[in-house]
Amino acid sequence: MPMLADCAPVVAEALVAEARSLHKDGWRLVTASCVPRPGRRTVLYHFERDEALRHLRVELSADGSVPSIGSVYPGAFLVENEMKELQGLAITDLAVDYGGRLYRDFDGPEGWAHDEHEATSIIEAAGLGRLDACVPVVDGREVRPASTRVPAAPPESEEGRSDD
Amino acid sequence: MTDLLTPSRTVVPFGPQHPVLAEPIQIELTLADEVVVDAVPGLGYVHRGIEAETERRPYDEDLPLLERVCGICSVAHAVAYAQAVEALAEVEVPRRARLLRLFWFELTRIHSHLLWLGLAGDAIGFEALFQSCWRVREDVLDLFTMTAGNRVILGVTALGGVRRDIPDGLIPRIVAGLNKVERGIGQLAPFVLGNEAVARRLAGVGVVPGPVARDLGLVGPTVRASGVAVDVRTSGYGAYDELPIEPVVETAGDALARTLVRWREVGDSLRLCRESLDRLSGLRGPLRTRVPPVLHGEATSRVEAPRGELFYYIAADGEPHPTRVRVRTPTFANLPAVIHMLPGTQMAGVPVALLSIDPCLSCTER
Repeated sequence: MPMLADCAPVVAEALVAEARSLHKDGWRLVTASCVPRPGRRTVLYHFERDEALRHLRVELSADGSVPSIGSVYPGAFLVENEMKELQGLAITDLAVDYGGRLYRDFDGPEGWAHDEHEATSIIEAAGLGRLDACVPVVDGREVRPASTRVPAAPPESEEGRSDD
Repeated sequence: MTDLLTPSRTVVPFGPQHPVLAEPIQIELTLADEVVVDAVPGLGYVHRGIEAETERRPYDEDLPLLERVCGICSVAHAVAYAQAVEALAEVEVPRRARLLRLFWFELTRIHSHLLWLGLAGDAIGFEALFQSCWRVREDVLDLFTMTAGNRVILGVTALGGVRRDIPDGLIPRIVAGLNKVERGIGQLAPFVLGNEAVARRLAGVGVVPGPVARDLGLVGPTVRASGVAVDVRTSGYGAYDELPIEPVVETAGDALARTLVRWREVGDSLRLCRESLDRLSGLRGPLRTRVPPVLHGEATSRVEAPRGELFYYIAADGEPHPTRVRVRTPTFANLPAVIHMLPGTQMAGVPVALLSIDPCLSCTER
């Protein structure tokens, strides 16, 4: 059964120190992989130097967490945010934290809020910015639209609407 | 009273629809007047969940799925995945199949670089360069059609080898096609090398110094343009052990250097295509080795895709489908460069700087 050569097991608490040691020795972070299995997770960090690979393996319980290695490898923030979102891995001390929403959800708030004269997007109406992602969370609850995607014409007032 | 001496800060959502950006990404740019002070990439416009889907299918059915991660470098994804599965199965790929893979792989690099150069021409307002590059690229796509029957997603790679062969009788026509591509590229040269319009728009834009590029883990032409000589092909995977290459390196680290690296790599790829055809001529042997349907263990695979290192990791727990397939694409590795290169850039330079890393969001989001 083939297994990864040059793969060292580490505990989560020692991960940043190990990464710092590899960085000092000229190893480049290739990426990280998270393998969820029933009741546990395996997180692998892959490094390269002179076309040779080295791996760090962290075994975690299902609710275990790892610290971010972004302080050592600044480019790690994308893969860490991805593992957080897609594999549900808890990562602490993220320098750039997308809040578990690296990949925006476009099935969400495409609705409109209407006032007397105009329709504004549901995000804008909730007072949120675009970087709050497309299913914004307010008070721990996802804001999803109840209205349709096509803005309806506002009702005319008794005096009628003027164009000026 | 308004403070006229302090630049105002404005947040500009750059993309996902933008006239010169063919990729669905949004960069949240914070500007102080016209100068970028912060840039945060926003993803999610083409995320398809392909990695998760591979965990439900047999190994051989994952291959055509992963080929569709990206239309431009489909051969790279197919070969990288196949190599990882072959490592898991501990089988050796026949020499003829390795040479055929190399031929289609390098042809892919030529068409990818020409496609990018055309888009770069379009971005800098050089429409003639755009049209000329894509005309030459059509000749490369004709070679794909001639040898594989498809223009973009070739479907030639199989687990343990290749699905299609190139008969000896076809080789003279392929060589004639390669000569035509080379002539076309030769005609393009004055519009790229030493052209003042190109140099003025690309030189000094999106600079990433070598140590920063290495620290951020950048790959492919993006890191080689910063003076770092890394190229996965030098590890000798596939048929690169008998057809070695020297990494193409530039040192300026700007958009112009990235253009020159890709330009010179096209010439290298033409040479590799010809040399692989020379070796295939008269070579006899099987096209593939059988790969068992149930696998156990872990394996990684790396190939040098047109945009840089493409990495696959597979975990298998003795079932007829993988437990986990991890795909790290070149653009995923190169996106952190955006955060470094954009601050300090004029707003007008952002499209060119971003385009210079040859971003592929279809790859990145999978």
